Amino acid sequence: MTAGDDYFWQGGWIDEAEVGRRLPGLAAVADRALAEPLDPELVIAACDRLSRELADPTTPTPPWAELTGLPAERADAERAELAEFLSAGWLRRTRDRELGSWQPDGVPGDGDTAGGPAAREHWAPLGLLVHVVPGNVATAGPVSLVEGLLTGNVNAVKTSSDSGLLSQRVAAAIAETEPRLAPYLIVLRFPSRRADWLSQLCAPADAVTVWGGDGAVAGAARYVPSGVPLIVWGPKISFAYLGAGAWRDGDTLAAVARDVCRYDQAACSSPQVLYLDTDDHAELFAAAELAAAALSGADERRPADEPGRAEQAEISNVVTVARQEQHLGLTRVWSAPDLRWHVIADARPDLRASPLFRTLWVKPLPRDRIVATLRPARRYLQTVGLAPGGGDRPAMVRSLLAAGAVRITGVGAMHTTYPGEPHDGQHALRRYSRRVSQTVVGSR
Amino acid sequence: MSPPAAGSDDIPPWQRFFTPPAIPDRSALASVEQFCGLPDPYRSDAESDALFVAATNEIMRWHADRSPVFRGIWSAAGSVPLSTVDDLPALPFLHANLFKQHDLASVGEPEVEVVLSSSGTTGAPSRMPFDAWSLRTFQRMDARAFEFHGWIGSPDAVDYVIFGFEPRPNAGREAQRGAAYGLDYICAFAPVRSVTYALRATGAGGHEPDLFGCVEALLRAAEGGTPARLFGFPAYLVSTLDLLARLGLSPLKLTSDSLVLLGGGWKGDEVRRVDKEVLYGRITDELGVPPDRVRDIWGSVEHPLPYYECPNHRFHVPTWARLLVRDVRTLDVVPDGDPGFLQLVSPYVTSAPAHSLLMPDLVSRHPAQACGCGLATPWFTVHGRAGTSRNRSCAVAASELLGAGR
Repeated sequence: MTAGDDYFWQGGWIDEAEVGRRLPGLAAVADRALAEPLDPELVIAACDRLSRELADPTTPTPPWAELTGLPAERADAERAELAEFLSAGWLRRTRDRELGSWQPDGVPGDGDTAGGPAAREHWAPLGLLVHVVPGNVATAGPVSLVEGLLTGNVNAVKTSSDSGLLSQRVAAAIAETEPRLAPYLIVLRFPSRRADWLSQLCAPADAVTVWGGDGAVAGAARYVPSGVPLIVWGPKISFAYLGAGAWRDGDTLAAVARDVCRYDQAACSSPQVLYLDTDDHAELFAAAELAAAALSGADERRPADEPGRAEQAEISNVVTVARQEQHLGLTRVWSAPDLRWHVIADARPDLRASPLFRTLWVKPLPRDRIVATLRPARRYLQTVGLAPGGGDRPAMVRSLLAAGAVRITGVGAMHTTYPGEPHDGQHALRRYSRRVSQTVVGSR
Repeated sequence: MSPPAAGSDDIPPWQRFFTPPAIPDRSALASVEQFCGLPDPYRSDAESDALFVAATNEIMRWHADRSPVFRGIWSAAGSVPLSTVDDLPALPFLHANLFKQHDLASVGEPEVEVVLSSSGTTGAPSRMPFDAWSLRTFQRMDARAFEFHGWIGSPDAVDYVIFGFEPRPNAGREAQRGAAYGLDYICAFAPVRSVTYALRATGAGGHEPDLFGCVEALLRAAEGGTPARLFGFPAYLVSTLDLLARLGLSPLKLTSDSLVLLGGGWKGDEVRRVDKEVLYGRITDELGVPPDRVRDIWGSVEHPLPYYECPNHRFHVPTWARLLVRDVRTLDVVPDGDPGFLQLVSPYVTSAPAHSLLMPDLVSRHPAQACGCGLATPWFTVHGRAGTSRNRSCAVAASELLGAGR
């Protein structure tokens, strides 16, 4: 049996039987690699080279859509985003913003604590960092891997059986460019029902990071020994919030429509609900009608991703129920003639998840009820695209943050990020590091 | 076929399910009463079609007079009665999920005898009100299906093992889980030696699994040579079989007139079919129950008519319902064999406008003769449920968000 491309282990491709032989020795593998600190500049240089290859359209790369398991256009967009993330400039700015200066070999004596011993603090790797990444976000695996590498950890990535091979390819490219990084990189694609492998992977871990829904997180948590930190990047929901009268501005609704159409709402930063600062139903329905027009305009510029049968059925279930609720005076529904988008105006303010693929709830939420309405869902809240209109922006921001949102952007900019931006309220590099201190008594 | 004879001083407990229930308004619902009284559970002919059309028209007028939602939906569709069954594709339907959000009773509170709720594993639970007529009518249909399949009565008292919820003490008529309600009354069709529940009521409102209790009940039945009847969720039966095997007690030899009826809780789509075949094999190998005494049940509280697998393990539509399949995007009716939403029509129900329901389930319909078991009605294959795939989105699932709000 020849080694396929499911299992990448410290610079080489191995087969299933060999994975089975090596996994029980994972702790010793990590011990050896962690004996000496990893120079982050090696990581940055190797990633930057990969970044330039990805950004250069003349570089032959394996079919990107195949690697990511995404439709071609989405795959190209993610390729460009990954290239930006891997660039030296981005990684350095991320590191500096999240961790401050990086001096892993700092010696005691140059820090100062008032009256106490000379002290020095710095960031150190956790050790063996196990990443459990789902197939749902193609770049989650590579991003988590590179963040783990940048913080000096040995990284063992488990990707799901239905995901692409992007994590494997990125790890292989980094190891090929800089062989000194190879000992820090293991990527295995196998289904979560392989309890024996998952258990062997997690047993020696210093931390386990899990991406995915509540079910995936609970599933992985079973294998994490007690006392080992579980770093969760859980499921999220985002929405747009328009202050009084802001919906009357065509540019504002067009910007919301762009946020909806980009990624067809598959990203956690995609708006699923458009909230309006009103409790007037006539205003709600008027705004929703304009939102439908905006979505219709946006639709022509970018074709929608195609839902699968179960996903289409979920859209039809939600839209059909909403259409029938029109007879209860609760809703109004606008759909594209070809059913490629739907706008559902709903007089009930409670937060609802959208069935995605350009299905947008439009709901009333007076600003003084933001906290009470949204706080029950606080652990899922992520981005709010805010257009205050004539309202008091700082007050709205305070309410949205108090309700649990962690990221406030403008409308049309919900997917725009910057180096070192916290993810779901956390700095990833800090979560993947230990803050360590050294003091030497009498060194003064 | 008539129910097994009952002695004058010893009426068997199942006899009451065959008693004709009282129709709320005989002048308005004469055809409904007549249609629901058809005794043969798998009948398909012009006469029953004509009666179905008349009954459906009566029940639509009934709900249009009592349910604002149905009135709105029916009038938006033109308020056109059926002329023949060929008009069914134009028949308005309510989406079953509406019953998760709204109390849609067509009768007053005093008329409601029981409210059955679904498990709500994939969202909010439905709450379905049943008046005496609707409840007894679907129970009579169920009894007739039971009788047809030869499951009524037993020369020996039966050890029942229910892989489901033990009814809560003092739960009253409110908010019974549909599954528990159905499993409870299913024990009335053969004399009881013992009843064992896999999910015991804790007394604190919850339930806890008791697999050792199930193992002991099966051992008792096997050792005593008494028939066993196993009903309920497949997952708990699988766990019980696993426990029997680990304890070194497999295989057991239950009597050949034992019966296994499973329902609900299958995993979606492709997994389901494989799991089901594997489980059927294990039941025969490890418990000694012959394959044609192992059947699946399809059911829902929104449409609680009997859908039992035939000996070929297909779900045939009973006499008292019609089945359409609709495209998941356009909602147009699709040809036999094509997958889509399940629409079920049965004019039996007076307590809520649930006579024509679009279910969130995905199925395909097949003609009667494509089965080969001899039943005269079409049958359907289940293709799982609707849902937003986690493979493409990092957004929170609707069910997760719902949990957060509680």
